[in-house]
Amino acid sequence: MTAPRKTLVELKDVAKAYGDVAVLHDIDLRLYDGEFMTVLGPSGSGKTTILRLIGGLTPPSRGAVLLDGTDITAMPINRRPFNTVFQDYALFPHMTVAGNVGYGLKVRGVAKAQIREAVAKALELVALGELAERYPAQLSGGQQQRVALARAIICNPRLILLDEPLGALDAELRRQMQRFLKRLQREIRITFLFVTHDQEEAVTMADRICVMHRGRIVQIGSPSEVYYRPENEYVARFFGDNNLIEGVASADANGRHRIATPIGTFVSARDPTPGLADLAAGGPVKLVVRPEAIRIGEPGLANRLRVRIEEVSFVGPVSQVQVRPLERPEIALMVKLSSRAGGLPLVEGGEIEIGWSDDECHLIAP
Amino acid sequence: MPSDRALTAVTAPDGRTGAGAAVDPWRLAASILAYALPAVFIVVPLALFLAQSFFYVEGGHIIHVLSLRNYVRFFTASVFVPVFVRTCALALGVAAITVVLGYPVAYLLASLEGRRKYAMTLVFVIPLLMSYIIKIYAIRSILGSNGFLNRILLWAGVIDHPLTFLLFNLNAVLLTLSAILLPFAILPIFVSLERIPRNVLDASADLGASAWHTFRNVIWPLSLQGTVVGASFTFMLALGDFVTPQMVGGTSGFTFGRIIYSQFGFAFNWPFGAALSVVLLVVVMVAIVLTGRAVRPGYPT
Repeated sequence: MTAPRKTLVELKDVAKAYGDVAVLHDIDLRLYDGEFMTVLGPSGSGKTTILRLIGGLTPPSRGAVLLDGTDITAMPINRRPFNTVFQDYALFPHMTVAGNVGYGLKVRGVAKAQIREAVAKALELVALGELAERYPAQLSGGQQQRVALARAIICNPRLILLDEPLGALDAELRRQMQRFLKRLQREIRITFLFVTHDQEEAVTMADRICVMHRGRIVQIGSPSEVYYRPENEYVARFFGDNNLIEGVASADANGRHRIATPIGTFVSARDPTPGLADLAAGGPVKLVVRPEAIRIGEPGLANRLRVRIEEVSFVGPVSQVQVRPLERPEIALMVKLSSRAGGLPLVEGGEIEIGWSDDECHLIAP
Repeated sequence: MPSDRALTAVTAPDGRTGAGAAVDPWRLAASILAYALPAVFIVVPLALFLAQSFFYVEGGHIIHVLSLRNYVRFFTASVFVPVFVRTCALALGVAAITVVLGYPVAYLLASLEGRRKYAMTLVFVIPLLMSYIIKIYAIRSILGSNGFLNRILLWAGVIDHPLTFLLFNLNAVLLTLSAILLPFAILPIFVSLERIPRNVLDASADLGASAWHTFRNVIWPLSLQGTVVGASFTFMLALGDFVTPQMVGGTSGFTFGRIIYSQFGFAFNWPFGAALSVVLLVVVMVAIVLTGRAVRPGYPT
């Protein structure tokens, strides 16, 4: 991570519109060689368009696509050293698994014996060796997925683009494939650009996540950065049930920040996010506290608050507790605690003290 | 759809009774109709025809005695087999021309976007709704010695007297049938091209294939079924046609359909006409079987 990383692909000031409908605005994105990047966003956020722009399936309306610093915006799709794993796999129904996987080499005029060897190797990599002579219609969704993957890696591309490849799989298979893809990517050392709408998937797999919203990149960072240090309200809300509290900031002598909110004054030891320039001037801020960072009945926390318990709900490994401050019951806060077999010692309607430490108190622009 | 319901009523296990225990009389009536209609209108006439072909005519009367003499006559008399072979060749020619012309048209139609695609497809299908006779007359007025084509060529000075080989021969039949039957080739090819998922073509290009490679390795194999169906449509329709040869074929454009027609219309030898029709039917059935075999893809779907 510390060594300066080589940029493989760069999108420079790219915009895309279909007729009057703008789907991407002002996109600047660098993809580093060898990394696993996830583009994350809800449907309609433009994430698939980014993938299509890089793959060459769609030309940008403005801006440039660079590969190793060279402009490849005009390079046709079949000349780009990238391969795609399509959303519903897009396997050739009239070719066997071996035919599908070897296709990229066949159209390049590689000799048959060499293709056979490469196909066998690629199928072994995705653990499908024994199915080489089957047709796509005879395979399960997960197997088709792996054929699509083998077909994409066989040409040894510089970059593999994956368009929501796990969307059609059931939960268990999905988790298996997530681990498999991550392992495969480390093994073959090819850069992956993985598009998904599932935050959990993005966090699990990516080296870096690019969060999209309405055709714009709203944050790029490592999974823990976007999770713990969201730069704006959108990202803060996109990852789980963050508590957002509006307030006004004033700098504290110890370099910490003191935030006055309607439910009390809280202390943050975090560096403010880049978008928050006038924090010292006492400008408005939003305080972000993750529900799992809130403690109950723990003494010595920098931030404390008396609340009434409204609802306790068990959701598997964690229990969600909705609470409301005694003085301002119109504000709801969410607390997540590890579940216990005997149930949590909390009574709905009861009064408790909650608290969180000053380094779990993140600040963003309002 | 009454026939569908009738079929399910027949195939459903007896134990499953819906509203009442008694058989629904409407369902029963519908299922009888569903079986009776094709039997009465297709199977019975064909059977009668087959029977007729084994009778023969003597002294202007049909002798209702089973005999093979009609079939013997077909194979031994020198006129019939050559015309029959020539007609099969003609129908194959029509199939070839319609597919060769229809494929690019269907390909263009399938590559159009949105509303324009369906508007243009309609333009190519509308001729199917027009009267057959009108279309033949239209072609005659183009190819005739005083026709559109000759006038243009005369006016342009390419020729100094009208070309007469354009009409009233077997080539004219071939051309006219091809023109009239073209939509029957375009439609199934268009449908098969339409069915190819867009992202399969994207995948081919993404894997490095040129436009030609994508056509050769993906589009062509996946549209082959539609092409075979189109060819067999036009082949079968051309094979039995007798109106077009009659109107643009002249004396040299004699086809098997015309011979059959003359047995019924002029010679009043219905048993022999029936026997010739059976011969034609056999060819059509062979064509259907071959098509069915070609249409079944060589891969599971």
